[in-house]
Amino acid sequence: MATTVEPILDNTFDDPDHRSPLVLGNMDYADVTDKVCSIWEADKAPKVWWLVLIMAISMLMMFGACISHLLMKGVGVWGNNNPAYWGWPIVNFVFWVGIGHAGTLISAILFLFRQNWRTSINRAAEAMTIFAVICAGTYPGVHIGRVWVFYWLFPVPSEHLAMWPNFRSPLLWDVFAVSTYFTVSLLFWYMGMVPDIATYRDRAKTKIRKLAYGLLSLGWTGSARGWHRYEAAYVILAALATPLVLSVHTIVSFDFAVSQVPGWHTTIFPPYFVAGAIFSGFAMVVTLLVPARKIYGLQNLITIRHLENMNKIIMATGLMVGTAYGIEFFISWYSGVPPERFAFYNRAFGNYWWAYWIMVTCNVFIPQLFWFKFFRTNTIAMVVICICVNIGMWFERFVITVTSLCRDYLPSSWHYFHPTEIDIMMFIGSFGLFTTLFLLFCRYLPIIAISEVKSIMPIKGDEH
Amino acid sequence: MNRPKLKSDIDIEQMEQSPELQQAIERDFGSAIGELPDGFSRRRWMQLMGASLALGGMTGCRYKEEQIAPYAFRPQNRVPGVAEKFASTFDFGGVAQPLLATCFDGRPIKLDGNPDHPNSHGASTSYTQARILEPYDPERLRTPMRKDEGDSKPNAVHNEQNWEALQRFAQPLLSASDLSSVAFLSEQISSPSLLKLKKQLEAKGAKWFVYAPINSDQQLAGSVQAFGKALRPHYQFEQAKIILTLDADPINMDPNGPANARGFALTRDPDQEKMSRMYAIESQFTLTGAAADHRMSVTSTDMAGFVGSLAAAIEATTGKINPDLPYREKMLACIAQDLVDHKGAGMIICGERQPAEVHAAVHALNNKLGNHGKTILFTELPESDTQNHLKAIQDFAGGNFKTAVIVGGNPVYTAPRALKIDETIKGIGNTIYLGQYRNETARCCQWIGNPSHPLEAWTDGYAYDGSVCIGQPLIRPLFNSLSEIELLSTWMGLKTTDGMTIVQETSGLSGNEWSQSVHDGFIANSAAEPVSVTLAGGVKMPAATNGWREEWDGSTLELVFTPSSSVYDGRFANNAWLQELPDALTKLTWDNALLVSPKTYDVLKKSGIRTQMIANVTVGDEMVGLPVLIQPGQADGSLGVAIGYGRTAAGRVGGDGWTGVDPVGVDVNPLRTAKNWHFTSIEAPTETGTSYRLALVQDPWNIDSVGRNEIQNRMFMNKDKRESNRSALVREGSFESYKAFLAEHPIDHSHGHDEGHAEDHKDDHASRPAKTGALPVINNVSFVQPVDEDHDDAHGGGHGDGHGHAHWPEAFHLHHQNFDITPGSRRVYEFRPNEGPEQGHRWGMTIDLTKCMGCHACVVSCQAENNIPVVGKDEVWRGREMHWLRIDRYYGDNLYNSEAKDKMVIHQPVSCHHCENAPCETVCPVAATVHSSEGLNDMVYNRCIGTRYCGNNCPYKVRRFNYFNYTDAVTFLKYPGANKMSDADLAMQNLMMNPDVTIRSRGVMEKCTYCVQRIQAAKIQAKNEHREIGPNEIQTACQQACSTNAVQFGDLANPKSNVRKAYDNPRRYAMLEELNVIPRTSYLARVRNVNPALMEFDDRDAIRGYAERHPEPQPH
Repeated sequence: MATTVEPILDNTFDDPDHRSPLVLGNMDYADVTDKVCSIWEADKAPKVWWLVLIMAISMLMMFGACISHLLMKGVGVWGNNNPAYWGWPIVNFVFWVGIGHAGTLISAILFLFRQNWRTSINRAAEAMTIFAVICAGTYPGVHIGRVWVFYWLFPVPSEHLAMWPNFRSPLLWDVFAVSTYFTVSLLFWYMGMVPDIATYRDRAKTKIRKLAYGLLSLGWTGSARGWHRYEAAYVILAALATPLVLSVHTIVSFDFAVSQVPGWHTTIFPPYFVAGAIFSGFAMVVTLLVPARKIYGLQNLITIRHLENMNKIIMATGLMVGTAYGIEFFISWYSGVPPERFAFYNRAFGNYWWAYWIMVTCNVFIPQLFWFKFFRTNTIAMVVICICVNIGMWFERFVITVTSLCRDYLPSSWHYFHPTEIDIMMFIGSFGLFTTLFLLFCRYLPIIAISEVKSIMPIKGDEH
Repeated sequence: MNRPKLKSDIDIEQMEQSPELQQAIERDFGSAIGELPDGFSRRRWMQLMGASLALGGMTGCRYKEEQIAPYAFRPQNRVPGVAEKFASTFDFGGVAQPLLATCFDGRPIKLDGNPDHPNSHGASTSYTQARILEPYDPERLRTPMRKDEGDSKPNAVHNEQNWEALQRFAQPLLSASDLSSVAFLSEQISSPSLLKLKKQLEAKGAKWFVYAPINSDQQLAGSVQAFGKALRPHYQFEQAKIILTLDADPINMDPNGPANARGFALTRDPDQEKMSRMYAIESQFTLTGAAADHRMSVTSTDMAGFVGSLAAAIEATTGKINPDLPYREKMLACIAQDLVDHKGAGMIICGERQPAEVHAAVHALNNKLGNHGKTILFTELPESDTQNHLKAIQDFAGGNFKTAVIVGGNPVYTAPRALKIDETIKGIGNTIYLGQYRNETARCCQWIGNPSHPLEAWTDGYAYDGSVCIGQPLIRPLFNSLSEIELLSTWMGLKTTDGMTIVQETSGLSGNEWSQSVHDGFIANSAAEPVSVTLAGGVKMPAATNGWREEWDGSTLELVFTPSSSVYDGRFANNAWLQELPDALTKLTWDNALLVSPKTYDVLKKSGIRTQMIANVTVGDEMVGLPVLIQPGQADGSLGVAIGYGRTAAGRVGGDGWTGVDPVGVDVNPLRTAKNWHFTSIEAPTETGTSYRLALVQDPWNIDSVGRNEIQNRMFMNKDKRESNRSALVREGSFESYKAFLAEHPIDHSHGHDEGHAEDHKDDHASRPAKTGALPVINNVSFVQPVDEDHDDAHGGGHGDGHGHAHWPEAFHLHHQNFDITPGSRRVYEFRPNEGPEQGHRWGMTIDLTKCMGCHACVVSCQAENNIPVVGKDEVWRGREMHWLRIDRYYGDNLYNSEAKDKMVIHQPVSCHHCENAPCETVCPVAATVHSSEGLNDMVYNRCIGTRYCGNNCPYKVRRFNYFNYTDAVTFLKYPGANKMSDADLAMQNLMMNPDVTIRSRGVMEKCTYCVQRIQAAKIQAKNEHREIGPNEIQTACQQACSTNAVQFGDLANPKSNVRKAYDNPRRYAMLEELNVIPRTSYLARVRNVNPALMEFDDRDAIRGYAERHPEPQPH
């Protein structure tokens, strides 16, 4: 063994002779299983894990405290005001929903397109999706003025309400879109994890673990019939999830596009939002996986090639987003609608120019570095760039939401938006929620799809 | 069924024992019954004991018992739940305000002007509207108080006392036969009853001083100089064709403001081709200046020189205006020419701020122009006003009295500080203060008596026209108090001490006459007779100067003190509605600021002064730090500041040092001296580097140049191209162009009187030329032809320009084909009598921008009617004010003359437009805002969950969100010290709530409802009386308060309604009509009667076909 695999870690070259390997380090099937299971089987989690978890839980507690404060006092604890009825909470909502795009895209669309390199990263990306959507879902949940009747948003047949919600409202579509997306993503993620959970179950040493993973693995035996059913279900779910990847952010963009606020009322929003969401989602995946693979020593499974592929997608979607920015300006000029023209001119040169240029710098200029292979393959560089992308994407939502509302039709109502401490603390707190969930996932669930990775490993004796 | 057969002769005992019954019992009731005869089982016992314990305990949990005494006999006309209206009155600035109070179950909840009163005709001010808060102010004193004996601290603690104790103290002092050591100090007295008491006291040797910080000293002194006696001027605005105001604000900040405004509005009817022309020359931007056709800023210091120049110009009129004169010179020439051309139909009004000599000179000019006796009448004054207030307060300070009774007012705060009135009062042995609050003055006095509020007592007063108003109590005194006249009568030992008897005796009326006067609120035909005046010799004209003609040199500065539009002289500092009422021009709430013109600001900026930062202003030895705010239109070199702020003993709203509530705004009274009472020259202010948050409701931060340009573009027109923009928010044109338009398209004034010809109407409507292209029939100077589809190409724009302003409404219509399939249809309101879903009423509103002068009375009226909360300074700063109706104020460059440097201002009241294609309705996920069959955009509060999407999608931004809980007593008036009061105290405020309007909870959106409660009330009443609702029967709260009748509301489906007539007016336009939301509120374009000689552009060309048909423009 080990004679045919190049003993180098660089698998980013494309050799026409043979496919670049997606698993390095001469790993065989058992090595892969051992490697992934070792994260969970280790007696002690790495110190970094504990450190970050404590920080994350502190932030999560702050998040909880902010929400309680909000529920006690009212949404006035945020900075939202009269023209800007939606402020940071909606910005954060769209931001998190966007982040929650990469996972399902990787698992579903790349699966359907038979992109084998997805196998090492799809599990973590899907988990990230689920957690991001949870973070996203928190905001609209507490954003409404009377939180205690949030269920009126759902078509609950009840005597009390005596009527259905308004099906014309994009917010209602949003409720359906996000909840469907969350449900399907969760199912997809969980179903894909069943064989790996069964592996955990089989290797579990304590009774509690045996019981817990036993329950979660739904009696998976690894029989051929089981695999057959599994594969079929996986394809079906992938096919179901694929349109959802596109629909959820399309519908989130309808919240803006269907309204008549200048700067919101644009038809480009659906594709532009989806591209932006994939852009930020991939950036988040890179940001998370680079440290994770380092901490858990997964460089052979999540290789530089994986990361480079993602960086290429980031650059591609970044270009789409940049094009969309340009088209927005063109259309606003071409439409000849004065408030529309002003809305865009004001974005770039009005009193929120700083936000706009942070957005453009982070989303359009900085990702151009990925044209250079050095930046695509250097882990530190790519993390820095990806963090910039996420900052930029947050500002994109801020620019869309706040600058449009702050200066709409009647100049008499123009107002500046000032965030409060609660706004800032809740945004930080939502990262606490996200990080806590992700860290727990890393520790207790297989962060790499063991069975799927094995499927793309060269079979021994069949290297050529 | 196997029931036991019951026979009538079987007795109960027998029956009980019958086995059939036992069986039936067993069958129907089961074993529980069976347990009873054998005593209780253990389980049963536990159950019963547990239940009785629980139930026994629950007897303690019950609603508080209330004693309700139902009417054995319902009082006449009293229907529970139906509001009643009573006439009454109270005093404001020495003038009785005729009132019409709405009472609900015995408590007044709203104040309006008395529509029957011949002077005011129902007009009211924001002050009048807001004063309904006063009787329910939890901080009104509840018992008399006495200073702690042993306490020698400067601001001693007062202990609660009772009336008997105060009477024991006061009666010996006031009923003595020699009162020469007793001083009385009051504000202007309008009450004849109080004047009578004053006379009796003065007969016994007492001294009565009258002092108020806002008074008519200069005006009266000027009148004495000119005519030899103090006379009160009455400006007959209805008669005037040319009005010149000099540093004056007669239509707003004037004791007779509402009546003047009403008179002025009567002359502003361009549809009847009746327009007065008003020139305003002033240093501060006033509402009069905003309403004027021409405004020129001149510093208060230079005003005398301007009057001199005016006198010279009147002498030098030639009948022609030299077009080459510089703008300001030309303006003066025009004023002079207009005044000379309209002798007897012009008037020159001089503001109180100007010294007596200027007043006298203006009297002389008016006399010369023959205006006296025609447009300006004079009456004698009620006696008290003839005193010079500033002299009176000096005399009081130097008087050496043993006893002082201070009846209302707050001289310690308002008097010139150099007089040290607080020391004076403390030095007087026996002092009694009569007033509602323990204010700065009360705190210096030995005794405080809390008289009844005027709404709780019998009052009387002279209105501005001299007519006697009778004020009946609207509620029993809430705190067991007596009115001032009752107290003084009692203490003086008079026989009559009952308020009603005193007032009736003073009025000299009895029987039906008395009843009628009480009912009417005034004594009919009691207005003062005008006196004829003759000019005394020796009135000197001030010398003509050049100061006003020239550009400001950047060195001389003056500081002008103005009454506050919110707190007046400080008396309303504890009125949260007024504190949160934006100033009409600065849009500032909860503060005063140092107002500087942009040019002055540029100069001051060099020394580091910045807007919204504190600058130190020094006058003499006194220095005050004030936040700086830029006010376009302010005279260059003139700094303005409102008095009345910085109260330290106003209460928990306005500031109270004792409870730790910071003062609202800054007290500038230390800067005022008797000599420089109104304005003074100052050195340049110095910077402090401290920033200060000003709670502005409009332009709340320094708008960047991008925003400023856009505001200009949207306001009137595309500034750069000098071309009208169809999306202009405000439409305005000159009277000349409107006359030209009317010559082309005369208005059918008989329109709407022919009932029952609905079909004809439609045709009539469609064929009316005024409606072609229905919109900007009148517009700005150099207005490009209204865009008409047929003419697009003719205008030579070509396709290259196809995306310019002219085309975009059509482009937009493509998005809305479902709503508007008529190609290019722009008719916003089309009356279809037999079509559409609405068969019944179609409510609509119009606001005439020609008439609206931005006084804000409607805003407070709306607030009172609709239980709108106050949010406090911080929340206003954040942009969360709750006013359902706001008045947008836009500054614009002079449209008619590019040489004119002074900004023009336009006011535009905006509330919910009740769009037919309401954007808010479609986006609400829970259908909480829906359309009624009568066209109202209804807000369903209990359905709303507060997503606020509707607020985002509303193009007019009229929706208001309850970011916090403002529903309960503690939070309804969320002001600085609200949390420092007990709930029980605050609950008093609930008494003023309008029970017909739901109070909105936290997290709910709210907005203007077109006063739906009034609509419903009118519908119910009409139905009960088996009749249709009258065409103008329903008045919204804003409409009712409007002194100029700018607001019309009613049924658009009723051709007789005023609103329908206004809808058919060619000046009507819908704001943001291009969005196709089809608003039910429309505006009537503003018409300015611009002097043609001051017009650089002739906007008559804008009228279709006019230029072709009249190739030679008519000479003006």
